[in-house]
Amino acid sequence: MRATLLLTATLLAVACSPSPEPGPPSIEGAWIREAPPGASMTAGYMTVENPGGKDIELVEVRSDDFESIELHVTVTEDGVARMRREDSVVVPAGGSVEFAPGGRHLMLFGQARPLAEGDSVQLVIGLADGTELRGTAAVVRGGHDHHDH
Amino acid sequence: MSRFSRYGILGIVAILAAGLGAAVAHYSRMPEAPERALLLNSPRALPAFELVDHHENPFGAARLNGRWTFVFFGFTHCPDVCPTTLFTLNEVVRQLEDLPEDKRPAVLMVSVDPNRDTPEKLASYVPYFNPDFLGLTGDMPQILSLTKAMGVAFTYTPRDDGAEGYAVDHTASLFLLDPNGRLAAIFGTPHAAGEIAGDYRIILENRG
Repeated sequence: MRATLLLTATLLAVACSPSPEPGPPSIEGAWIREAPPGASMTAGYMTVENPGGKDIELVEVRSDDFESIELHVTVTEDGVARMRREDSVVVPAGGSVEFAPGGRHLMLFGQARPLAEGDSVQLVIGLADGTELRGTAAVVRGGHDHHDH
Repeated sequence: MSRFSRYGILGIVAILAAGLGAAVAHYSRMPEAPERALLLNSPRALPAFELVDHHENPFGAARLNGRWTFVFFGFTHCPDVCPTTLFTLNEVVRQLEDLPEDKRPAVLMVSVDPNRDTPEKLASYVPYFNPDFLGLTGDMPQILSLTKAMGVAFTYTPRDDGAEGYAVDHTASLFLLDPNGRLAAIFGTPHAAGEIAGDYRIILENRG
């Protein structure tokens, strides 16, 4: 009987505690492709998670290691791959947006120092509301992800 | 029923049976179809062309003889699709290492941006993905004769941020040439190494 009461009390306490606040938006699994020799630019990939209740809009990306970074998307129509710049990317509330090879990617120009596999790069993403996301991107020599090389 | 029509029916049945037998024999010998690749019913001959490889040696149709060859059209100022595809091709070649040497495919990247992609530029870029891969460039009319024959489209697009330079929209398919230098199959996007290597083995069985 005492055990049952205790259990009930515990369950009530759990049920009545406020649900945990959703975490802030974050940059997950970011990586930058090691630029092949002679390439004047390279691409970066990541997933931006937005567990909160409001959409967020990525409007700017920067890093001390690159002159400029743009939001790009590769669109393949009738077998023809076209690369286009995007002014901003919206990550819906409770959702995420993936930047992956052959699709959305960061286009990184003007590398400021030699970067090879094993190095890492700090990224800052500016949002439309004036706040910023920060993340670390690994420099990877490879194609689709960290695992296929 | 007259004797004639009885023999007639027997004859028709015999012909049908023979036809069915032949059909069964034919289809049971039909090799598996490729999963993603479009295998041409009959290989298509390519026109003569004269390009230059990244060792600055001339590269014409004769150098396609004797080996299966994957051809990819790209350019070095291409940060997403081209490196991704070249890494995928490296993985394809790795997965086919068990084949006898003369059955393993060669890999060519033909530049669709010859103004910027000199042989020297390709020499530093292409072998980064695999030391056996070969980059080709050359005069635009020569490149066009190859792209037209293979149904490859490419157009130059100014960068839309007003900055200097341009991007090249281009067909991202892979083209497989047979050991006679004829177009045998086309692989559409997206490219997955396992699928391409699997289809290559099937095509080799069909046509090898």
